[in-house]
Amino acid sequence: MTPWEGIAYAIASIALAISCGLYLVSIRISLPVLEGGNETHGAGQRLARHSERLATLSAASALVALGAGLALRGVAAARWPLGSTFEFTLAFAAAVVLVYLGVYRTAGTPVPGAIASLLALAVMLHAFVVQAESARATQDLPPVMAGIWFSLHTLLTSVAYGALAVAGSVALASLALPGLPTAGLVDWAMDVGYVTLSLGIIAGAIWGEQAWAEYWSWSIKETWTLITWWVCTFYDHVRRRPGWRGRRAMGVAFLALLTVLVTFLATPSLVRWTRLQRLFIY
Amino acid sequence: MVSRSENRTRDLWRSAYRMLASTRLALWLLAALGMMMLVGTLLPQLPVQMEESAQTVWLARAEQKYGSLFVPLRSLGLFQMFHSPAFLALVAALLINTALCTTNRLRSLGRMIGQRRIGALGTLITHLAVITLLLSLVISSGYSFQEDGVALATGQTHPLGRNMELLVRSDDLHLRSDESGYPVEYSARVTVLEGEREVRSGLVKLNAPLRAFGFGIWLLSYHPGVRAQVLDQDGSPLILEYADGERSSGQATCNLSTGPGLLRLPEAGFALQISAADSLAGAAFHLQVQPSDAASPLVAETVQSGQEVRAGDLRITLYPAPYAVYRLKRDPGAVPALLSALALVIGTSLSLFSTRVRIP
Repeated sequence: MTPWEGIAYAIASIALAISCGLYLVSIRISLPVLEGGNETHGAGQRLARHSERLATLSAASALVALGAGLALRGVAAARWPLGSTFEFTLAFAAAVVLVYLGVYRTAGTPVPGAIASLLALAVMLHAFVVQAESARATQDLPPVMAGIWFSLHTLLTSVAYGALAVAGSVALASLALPGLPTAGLVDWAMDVGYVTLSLGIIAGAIWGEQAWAEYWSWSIKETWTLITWWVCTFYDHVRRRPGWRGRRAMGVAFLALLTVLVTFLATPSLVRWTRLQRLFIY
Repeated sequence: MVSRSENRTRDLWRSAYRMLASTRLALWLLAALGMMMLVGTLLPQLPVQMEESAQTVWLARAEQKYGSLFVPLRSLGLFQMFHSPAFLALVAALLINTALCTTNRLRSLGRMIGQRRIGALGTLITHLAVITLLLSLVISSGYSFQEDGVALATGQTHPLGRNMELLVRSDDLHLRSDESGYPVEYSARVTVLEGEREVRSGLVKLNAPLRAFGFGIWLLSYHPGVRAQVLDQDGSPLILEYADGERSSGQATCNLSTGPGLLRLPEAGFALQISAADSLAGAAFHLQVQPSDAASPLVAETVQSGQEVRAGDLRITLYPAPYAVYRLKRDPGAVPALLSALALVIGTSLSLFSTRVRIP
């Protein structure tokens, strides 16, 4: 990792922490409204609005810094900068912020902003703390991990993960805090996630066909991506059905987040779990 | 006059049709297929392309891992979940359900499209795309051709597909490795022949197959190989015989991926055994020259590429001749499947990002 790249990621994480703090300040001030009480007036209302604006600006700065960091890595490695797990994780964090900034006007409350900032920060922490140090180094990729379809696949899938993570975590918040006006944001984020995931799967299929002559091979990662897509399809069909609006639809959106997390974090363990041991014959 | 039993039969048909065309059934099918997929990722899946002998070993390993559960799990088809009759039946049911659901709503969808409701058009496109996508997968599984592990040295040919006059010839293989010998890039020039006539030629690289006559030619990997040139003392070529009895004059090429290359010299009464001294670059080989009437070899040494070795009256020179390993495939369902998938995304986007309406 180049020093400039490190600086960009440090700026991104600080900006996300500030954004999260400012959103929390805004939530604290507007808490009576969220709890169904009287609207705050005057100075309090203005402070809440300013905090929220600054928090959004800070989140946007984090997005720019993350994008710059990834661009610097691409230049240093002379390849598409979303190839390794570490890079994809950072793109995932950037996508969380990007999708939130795209849909935040539908929120009507600072709660989703705080969740998105915290989520992006958690994803960045995962990249820097949980993943091995060797994974963070700029590395050459196998020759097969190249080409426009691979690049599109990783880009679209990271945006989809970001969108579904925002939708799922905000849905979880609305399950915990009934009355939170987040259904519109969850709907939008699920829609963005559904479409980008579909396009990401198609780009991956074309890449697979060009690389191995197989556009689908039922690998564990592919199957879990399909399960996530399936959950999105389910959500799309049920969200306006009588009896499914509200909490049950939010439950399905949260399920989409869980499937994203399994696809992203648990598939290597599942591959190890299902691998058959060597057969020793004496 | 219609009898009561006829009415009852008609009612039964109607309710069965309503059930088959319902969104509720679609949701149940989606949930059931999702659950089956989940189970399919929790258990190892038997690779479909695996040879029968390798499948037997795979099943033995699975039996060792799952013990007494192996038989019930296998009889439920859980080791081949995505090709099991239950999974395919559910996919077929989803296909029928989507088709009936779309047909059922055609009139109201048409009315909405007439009222310029883009969302309704999107729903129609999405459902038609699901139907064509599933049909494309049926075409893929029923009519595709695939041949793996076709290892060809430079100049060798192999039939392209079944019952066709086409041949694929490997013309050249380029390898590029980094300082540690790790392959960075490899590509091969390939020519498709119709009889003697060259009809298509091109470079095959990773992520870039050559397409010709509906076939794709993929470069999967490469194997170490050797080209042995054997001359007599006067420089005249000697006859070389492969293990399968095929003969060649002056030189012969052997694939060294599965073991040493074996060549006989029937006129001179010698046998050659060659193996790779370095697996990637092919710069050196182990050579053994065995006279047919002696117990010990005449020559047993490591030779460099291009270095001439003298063994009695023989002049032997070895050159690297790596084999390009190809996959040949023809899949008439691939393009329709990808087009359907694209149509599905377009339809979904139209229905999601326009004013949503519930279609009765």
